[in-house]
Amino acid sequence: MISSIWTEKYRPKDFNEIAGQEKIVERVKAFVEQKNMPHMLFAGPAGIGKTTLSLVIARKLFGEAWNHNFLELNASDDRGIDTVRVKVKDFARTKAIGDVPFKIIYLDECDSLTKEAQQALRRTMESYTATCRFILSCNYSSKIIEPIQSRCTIFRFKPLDKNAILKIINHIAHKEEMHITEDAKNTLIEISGGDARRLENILQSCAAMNKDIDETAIYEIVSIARPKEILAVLEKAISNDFIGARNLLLDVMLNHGLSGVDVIKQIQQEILNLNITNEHKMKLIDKCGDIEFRLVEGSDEFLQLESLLANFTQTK
Amino acid sequence: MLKKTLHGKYTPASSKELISQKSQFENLKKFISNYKYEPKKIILLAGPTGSGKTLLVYLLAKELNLELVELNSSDFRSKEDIKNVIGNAITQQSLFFTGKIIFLDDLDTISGLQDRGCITELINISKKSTFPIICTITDTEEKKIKDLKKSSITLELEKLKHEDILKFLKQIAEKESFSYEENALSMLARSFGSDLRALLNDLQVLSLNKITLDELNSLGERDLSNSVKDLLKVIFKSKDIAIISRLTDNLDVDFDECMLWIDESLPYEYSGESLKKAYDSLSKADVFKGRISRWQHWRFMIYQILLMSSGVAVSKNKKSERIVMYQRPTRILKMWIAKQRYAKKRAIAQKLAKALHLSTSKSLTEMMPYLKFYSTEVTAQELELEPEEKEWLLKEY
Repeated sequence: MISSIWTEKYRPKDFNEIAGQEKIVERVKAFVEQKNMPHMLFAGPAGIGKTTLSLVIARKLFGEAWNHNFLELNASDDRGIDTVRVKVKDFARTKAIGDVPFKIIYLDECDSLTKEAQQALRRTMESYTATCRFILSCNYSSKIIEPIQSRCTIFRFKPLDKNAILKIINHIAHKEEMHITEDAKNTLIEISGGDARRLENILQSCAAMNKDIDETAIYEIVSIARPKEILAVLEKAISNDFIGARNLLLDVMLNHGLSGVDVIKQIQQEILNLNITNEHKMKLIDKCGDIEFRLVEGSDEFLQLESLLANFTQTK
Repeated sequence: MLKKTLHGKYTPASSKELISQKSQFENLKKFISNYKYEPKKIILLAGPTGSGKTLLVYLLAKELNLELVELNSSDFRSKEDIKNVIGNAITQQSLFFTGKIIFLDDLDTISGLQDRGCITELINISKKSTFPIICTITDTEEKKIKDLKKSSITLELEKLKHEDILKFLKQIAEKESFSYEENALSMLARSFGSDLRALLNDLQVLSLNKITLDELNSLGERDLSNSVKDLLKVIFKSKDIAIISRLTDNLDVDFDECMLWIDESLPYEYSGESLKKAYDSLSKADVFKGRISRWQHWRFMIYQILLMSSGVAVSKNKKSERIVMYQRPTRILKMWIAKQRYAKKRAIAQKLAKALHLSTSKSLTEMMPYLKFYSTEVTAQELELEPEEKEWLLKEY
């Protein structure tokens, strides 16, 4: 167990420790008590407990042996459905240890699977129904094909509300002997956007500097942690320094190991905040979409981003 | 800039102008004339690059007044393609009731030929053919065409003789009134095996000054970057699509690498609206490049080349007066170096991802930025990092 990182240290181990998502937790708890559950699809944004709930289910169902009966896969790492299939096959071949008649396969970030891969996944799910239950997690259930949705009980997770976030803040503050001002708490609620991972990362970063935390400390941490290089690239391009802009872009991509899509996501977000006319903004957004499509199709990432950057020149 | 490349200008227009390969030309002619009685219906014309294989076939068609039906690699994607395309060509009467030659250029460079049963199909079809089939190949030992060799007649083009080449060069030099040193020409003639095309292209570059031994040495080994630089100059400084197309047709360069060169130098040559338009064109060329491999449709390459060369050329408002030293692109190298450096970061992110139940990409973008605030000593221990990974983490974070 990793205790040096709070998102892991304070990850709930039991149903009653989970903040928010009360209705979902209640239903799932009932499944666990009956030692039977359907395939499930957990949908919702990041950091609100999808993985945590799955882990709790495994712990509660299997007790000590949970590690042997729970397979965790990430669709965005194990891209090819073939990898998924092979791992599932190896895992599902043996029966569950203990008195639970099935094992659990948790497949995270399912929306990064293509439609074809999802079709293959559906078949895999069918072949191992006897020995396994699947918990799929995704950000948007609309990105999951109908046949999979219809085989799963769908649970829609909501971003954590004010009370849930406060509960986490107070719990951690107490354990770590931190003092957090009321203003700082409100700021944390706002900045976290209901994302417990983000919240805990900010808290730990602040605590590393000072155990007394006020509003300014939080803003400081957030602004340091946020990458500003992409904005700098765009600003260079807007001031017609194209060569400077593209050199910086290459540096940023190489140093941070960003993919073309990572970059374009940030560019798209920054466009709306730029100091240019609305007409220009929309033209750039349009172009952005075109280029993102090309990237997804598999074009030369850097060349395509350069051509996008060229559109930022002469917008003043 | 010459309006026409030397290579284009001095390509023989009839078999009388051939400086070599005359006897093979006659053999080829004999075969075609007696075609009906020949037991084997395919001719393999073998010879190194630039030795005149394609030229011989063109001249032959011209002088015997035969229609030349040329097939290219995109006709070779499957057995069915072969059946359709060649099958049709073989059975259909020619439009003007002249004879036909079915011509497959550079057969051995087509990849994946063997797997798809194309060769077998070709041999089968040839047995029923009423028209001769000529294939050119560079390497007779190539495995792919082993079966084909058994069912066809191989004609190997002879190596060009040094005296013939020299004579030819002198003729050109006189006609174009190039000034030259006798021994420089001789050296030039010797430095190329049988590749007359490359020879003429180099002669063209040299002819800008007096052709001397010194100049020749400065040219050194035939260097890819020189021809690319020539191409860049025309693209960036002219708008003449005809010249650019002629150059791209004749240059034997890797166009994907060319694209990197153009990309590298573009912002130094163009600015403002021109730059925007040029990048638009170049990025579309890149889109077509991707489509070639995705759809296995090689004709897309035509659009790639046109968009990256002529498309970029016509994007400029006016020619820039700046003198730009065209540089070998460094992006690929930089990427490779960064990748080595980045490998450690990725390895750590992977371990972190596993411990925190995240995907690697989320671990990179959502966790790693905060690591710089944490005491990474403990984390490194808990993650059981390798010593060099730990060292990297402590240094960078």
